[in-house]
Amino acid sequence: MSIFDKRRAAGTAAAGLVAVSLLLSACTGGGSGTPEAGSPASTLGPPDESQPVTINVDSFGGIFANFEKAGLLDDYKKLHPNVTVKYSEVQQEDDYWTSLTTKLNSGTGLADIQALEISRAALVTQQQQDKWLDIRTTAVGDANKYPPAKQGAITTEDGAVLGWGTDAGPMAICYRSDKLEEAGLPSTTEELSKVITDWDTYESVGKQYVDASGEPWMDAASGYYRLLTSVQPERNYNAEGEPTYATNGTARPSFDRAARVGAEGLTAKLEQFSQPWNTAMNTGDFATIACPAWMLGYIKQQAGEENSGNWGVLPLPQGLGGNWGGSYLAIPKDSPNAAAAAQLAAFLTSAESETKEFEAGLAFPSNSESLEQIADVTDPYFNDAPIGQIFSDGFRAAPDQPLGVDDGAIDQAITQQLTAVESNNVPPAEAWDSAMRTLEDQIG
Amino acid sequence: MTTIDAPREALAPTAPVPAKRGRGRAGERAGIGTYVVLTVTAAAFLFPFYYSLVAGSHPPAELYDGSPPLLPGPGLFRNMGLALEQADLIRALGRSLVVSSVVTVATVFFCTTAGFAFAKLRFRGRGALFGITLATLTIPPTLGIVPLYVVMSRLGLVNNLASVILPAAVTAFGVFFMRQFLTQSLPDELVEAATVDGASLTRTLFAIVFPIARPGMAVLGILSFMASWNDFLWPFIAVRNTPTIQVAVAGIQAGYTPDISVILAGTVIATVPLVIVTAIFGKQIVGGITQGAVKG
Amino acid sequence: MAVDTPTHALTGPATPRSRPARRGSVGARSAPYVFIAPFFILFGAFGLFPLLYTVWLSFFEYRLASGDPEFIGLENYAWLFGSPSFYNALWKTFTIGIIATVPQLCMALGLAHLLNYNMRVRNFFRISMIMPYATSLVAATLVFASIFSNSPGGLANVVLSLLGMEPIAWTAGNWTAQIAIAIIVTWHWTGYNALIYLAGMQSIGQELYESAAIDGANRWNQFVNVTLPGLRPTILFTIILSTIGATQLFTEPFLFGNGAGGGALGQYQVVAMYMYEMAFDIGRLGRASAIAVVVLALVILLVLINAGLASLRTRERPLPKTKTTTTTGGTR
Repeated sequence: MSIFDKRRAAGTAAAGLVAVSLLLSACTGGGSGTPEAGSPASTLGPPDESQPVTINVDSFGGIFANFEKAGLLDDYKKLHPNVTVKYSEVQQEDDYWTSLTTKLNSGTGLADIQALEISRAALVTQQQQDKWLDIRTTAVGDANKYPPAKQGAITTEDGAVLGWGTDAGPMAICYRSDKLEEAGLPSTTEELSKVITDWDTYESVGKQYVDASGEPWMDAASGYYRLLTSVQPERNYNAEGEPTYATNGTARPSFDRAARVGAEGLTAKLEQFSQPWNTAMNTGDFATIACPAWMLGYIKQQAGEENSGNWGVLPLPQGLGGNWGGSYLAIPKDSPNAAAAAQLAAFLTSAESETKEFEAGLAFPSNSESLEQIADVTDPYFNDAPIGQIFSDGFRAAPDQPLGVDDGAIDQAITQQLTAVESNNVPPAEAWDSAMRTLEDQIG
Repeated sequence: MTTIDAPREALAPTAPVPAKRGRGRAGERAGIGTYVVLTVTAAAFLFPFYYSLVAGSHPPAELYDGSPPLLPGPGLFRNMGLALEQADLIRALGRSLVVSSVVTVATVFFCTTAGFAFAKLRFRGRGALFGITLATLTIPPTLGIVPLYVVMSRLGLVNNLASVILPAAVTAFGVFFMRQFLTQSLPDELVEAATVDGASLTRTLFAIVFPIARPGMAVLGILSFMASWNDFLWPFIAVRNTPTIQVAVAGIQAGYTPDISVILAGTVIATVPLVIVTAIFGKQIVGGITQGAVKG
Repeated sequence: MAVDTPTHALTGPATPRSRPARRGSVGARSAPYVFIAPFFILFGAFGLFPLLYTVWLSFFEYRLASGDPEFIGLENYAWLFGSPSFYNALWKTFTIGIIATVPQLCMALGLAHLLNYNMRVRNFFRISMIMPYATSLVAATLVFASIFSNSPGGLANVVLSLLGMEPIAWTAGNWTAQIAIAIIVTWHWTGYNALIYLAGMQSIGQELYESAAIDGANRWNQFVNVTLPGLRPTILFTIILSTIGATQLFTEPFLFGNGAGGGALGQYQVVAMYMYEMAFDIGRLGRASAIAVVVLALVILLVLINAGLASLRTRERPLPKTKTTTTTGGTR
C-alpha cells in the first residue's frame, strides 16, 4: 500500500541521513597528523598589502573592545588601509569557550584570530597543537618578547609558540586604606610593607584588624588560596606533566593555610564575582583582596567614584610575584587570511600598543618591553599607587608554572572545599579529603 | 499512551461555547479576593523586570552601596543609547523578529496539524509514533549542541538564520500540547460530521480544527515566540556573525569589566517586543471561542 | 458546503473509541502521515542525529575538541555507576524537582482559575503571568541573588527577621539552597503553566458552571467538580512536561551558584549541571554522554510510570453518561 511505502521511504531516507552524518562526524574532530617537531618547516610570508582583506576576530571579555577604546584599531587602519577588522566579542569566557570548542570539533566556523584565555592554554598546547598556527612560522615571527610566565604557557613541548600575549594579571594585594586607618593600622603602602613581610604577618595584621574593627580581613579563603599558589614554582603539575597536586609542596600547604584563615573567621565568606561580593567591595566589608591587575577595574566600577582614594595597592611580600589570568591571540591553522591576521595580532600585542592601552587605563600589558615603559604609571583612585612599578615587578617575578589540562577542575574542587570550611564548618582535613575524592571521581 | 489522554468518562467538556456577554466565564465576576491574589502575584512576577529598569538607570556603584535604589533613575535612556552603540541591537532585533516569527508560525501550524492527526485521526502506528514524539522531549539539550553544529556546518547553514529556525520549527512540546488541547476541546462528532458532509481532511482542518484550536494556538504561539526569542546558547554558536538579540546583548560591555547598568538597559530593549507580542496574542486566548458556531 | 454549520446535534463529549472515521480515498488515508511528517522529518535531521551521536560517544573517551575519540567500551558506564557525585546529582534532581514542581502546578491551576473570571484588565494580568518567562536571565539573576543574599540585608533574610527568625546563609546550606532554587523555578514557570491551563479552560462549557451554580455549588466546588475534571488532559500534559523539565533543570541552579559546581558541597548540583560540568568544564565528552544516556533512560521510565499511574486512575472512574447529555443540550 502506498502509505507504507511512503513511510518506509521516509524511514530509509532518515536512516540514510543519520548514517552519512555519523560517518562524516567520525572523520572530523580528529588530529590530522603529528605536530611538527623541531623548527617549523615552512614560513608564511608577509601579507599582500595591495589586496583588500577582512580579518574576522572572535573574542571575549572586552579584549578587542579595549583595543578599540585605546585607538589601536584606528592606528592599524592608518598603517594598513587595505585591512578591515571585524570582531565579535562576548562577555563571558565560558560561553566563548563552549562555542570555540564546538567549532574546533567540527573544523568549520573559526575566525582568523581567536582569543584564548590562559586557563585554556594547557589544553591548547597539549592536545590541540595541530589546530593552531605556530607564530614562529609567520613573517612577524616571535619578535614580541614576554616574560617566562607568559611565554611558557603558550609554548608546546616541541617549542612551537601558539599565540601572542595580550594582557596579564600580576598579583598584588588591594586594600581599603580608609578602613585600615579607622582600625588604627598603617594605611599607606610604605608603612604596610614594613609590617607585612610574609604570609604569617599578613595573617597576624589581619587578626589585629578583625579584633579592632569586628569586620573581615579578606573577601574569601579561595582568593587567599589563589594568591598563595600563584607565587610557587609548581602548581598542580610538575614539569614532566604529571599531576602532583595531591602531594607537592604547593596545593596542600596553601590549602591548610587558607583553610585555617577561613576557619578562624578572618574572611567575609563571599563568593568571588557574585552580587554580594560586588556590594562588599563597595561598602568595604572586607579590608584586603587578592588583586590581579585587572581587579583594579572591577574595584573602580563596583566601588564607584565616591570611594576614590579609599583604596591602595600593596606589592606581595618578599618580592614575590604571581599571575592570575591573561589572554593570548591565536590563529587557527587553516585560516585563509593567516598572514594578515598574524600581522594584526603582532601589532596589537607589540610594546607600543600594550603601553598605549595601559596608559589609557585599560588592560595591563604582558609584553616585556612594555613592562619597562610603564614603570612610572600611577593611579589616583588608589592613592597614586605606583601600579606600573608594582605590577611589572610582580609579573617579572612570577614563576612559569607548568600547566595541566585539569587545572581548572583541580582548582575548582579545592576552592569549593575552602568554601565548605568557611561557610559550612567542615574541618579542614575532612575538606581536603573530600576534594581529593571528588577529583578522583572526576578526572581520575 | 493513547489511552490516557481522552478519558472514558464523559467529564471532558463539550465544544466551546460562544461567549455571551464579554469574554470568559460571563456572569462570573471576579471578587475582590481574586483581584488581590492576582495583583500580588503580578507584582512578584513583574518585579525583576521592573528592577532591570531601575538598575539600568543608575550607575553600577549605586547598586552595590548597601542601599540599592528602588526607583528608576535618570540614566535609562543614556544607558540604552550606550547599549545600542556597543552592540548592533537594532539589526539583531530585526533578525530575532524574523526568526521568532517564522518559528512561531511554523510551530503553530505544523503542531496543530500533527496534534490533530494524533488526537482525532486513526492511522496505523499512531500510538508508537506518538510515543516516539514524547520520547524526543526527554533528550537533554546541552549535549545536542556539538553534533547539531556538525550537521549544520555540513549543510552549510552556519551563520544562516535557517540554522536557528529549522531545529525549532516543529517541536515535540507543541505537538503534544496541541494534541491534548484538541482531545479536550474538539469532539469527534464534529470531525465526523464534516467528513460525512464530504469535506476533505484539509478542509476540515482549516474550517473546523483551526478555529476551535485558537486559544491553544495562541498560547502555543506566545510560548514558542518567547522560547525562540530568549534562546541564547545555540544561536550564539550557530549564527555568531549574524546574531539574534540575546547573542547581541551578551556582547554589550564597557570593556574589561561588564557595566551591569548598560547590560540591563540592553535587556530592557530586548524584552519590550515580547511584551508587545504577548499583549497582541493574549487577546486571542478568549476570542477564538466565538467562531465555528458549534452549539448551533 | 454545510461544513461550518452542521445540522445534526452534538451529543456527548469527545470519546476516542467512537466509530472510526470513514476511510475515504487513498488521499485521506495518507493525510495523517502527511500531517505528522514535518515534525518527523525535522526531528530526523536535527534531533535524531544528536541523540545517536550522544549514545555512540558514550562508548568513547573523548576530550572536547582535542585528539581522536578512543574506544573504551562500557568503561564510562562502569565509572558512572560507581560515581558518588552521580548519585548525589540524581538525588538533588529528585528533591529539587519535587519542591519546585508540585506547589508550582497547584498554584498555576489556581491562578488560571482566577484568570478565567470576567474582570477588568485581564490582559494585563495575563501579560504579568508570562513576564517571568520573558524576563532576561541577567535581570532575574541579579534580583534573586540580592534576595537570597547570605547577609542579613538580603530581602529574604529581612522577611525572616520580621517574622522573628535568624538570618539564613541561603547559598551555603543544603535545604536552604534547594528551597531558594525551587522558589526561583516556581517564579519562572508558574505563569507559563497557568497560561496553558487557562487555554484548556476556555473549552469548558459555560453551562457546566451554570448548572453547577444552580445546584448550589460555590466557587470552590465549581473548581473541583467542573474545572478540574475538564482539564484532565491538560493537567496530565503539564505533569508529564514538568517531570521531564525537572530532570533537565539547569538554568536556575546554574545561575544561582555562578557555575556548574552546584554549591560547595554539591548541595544543588542537579544532574543536568553535573553533565554540563563533565562536558565543558572538565571536558570529557564521553563520560558526559554516558550520563546523558542513563538519564534519558531514567526519564523515559519515569514518564511511563507517571503516565501509567494516571491512566490507571482514569480507567477506574465510571462513565456517567447521563450527566453529560443533559449538559450539552441538543439544540440551542
